Amino acid sequence: MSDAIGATFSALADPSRRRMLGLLGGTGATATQLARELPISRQAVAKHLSQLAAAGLVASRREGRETRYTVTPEPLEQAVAWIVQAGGEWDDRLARLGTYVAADRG
Amino acid sequence: MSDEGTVEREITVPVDPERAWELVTEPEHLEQWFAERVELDPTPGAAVRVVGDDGGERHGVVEEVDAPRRLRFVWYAPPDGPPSTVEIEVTPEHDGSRISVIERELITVDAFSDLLTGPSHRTDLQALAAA
Repeated sequence: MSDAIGATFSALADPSRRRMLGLLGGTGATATQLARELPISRQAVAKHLSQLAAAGLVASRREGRETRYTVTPEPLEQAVAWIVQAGGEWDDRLARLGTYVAADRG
Repeated sequence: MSDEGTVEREITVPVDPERAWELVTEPEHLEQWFAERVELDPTPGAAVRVVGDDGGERHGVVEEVDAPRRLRFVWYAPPDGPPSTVEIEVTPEHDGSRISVIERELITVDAFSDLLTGPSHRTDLQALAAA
């Protein structure tokens, strides 16, 4: 794990960017297509896309005069992995705490 | 910060809040349930060092103490584990105490600069740290 996970979470913290990831699912989309679907300017779309790309959540490739963006799910899986691991550790710790308290009183 | 980077757990134990506070702040007790070795002094600014069963270490610092109710520290696994905050709260219940834990992923300075400048910036920092 690395700080990249922090970047993933902060990229996901914005509702517009989450909505964009949803729209990009499947075959992907261009910034122009995204701007048509969202109540924000093409310029704002481009800025969000660069933030998603910096967090490794989207990849881009040239397609004629436009750039097509697609979702790269790997960082999402890492983010989920952090929750699963941290949650599992606390489950174990609190189970041990319960046992310890019971033994202490017994 | 979105909810995605947050873990919340709780347990109710049949002891009074003062005892529960000892369980979550004194290394003697922490080493019975939290981790193999725990160095922790419930004083803001004090260093935290935790060694797990697998030998993995985490280092941190105590951020906030409100005895006997609330302890918060930030920690990370060296050299580049993602830092997170851990907040432990003790709440009186009619038949004991509720101990609740919230661990949150932090938005780090590095992660933030990644967003602004792209991942190459972090690679530079990691190269610097490794040198």
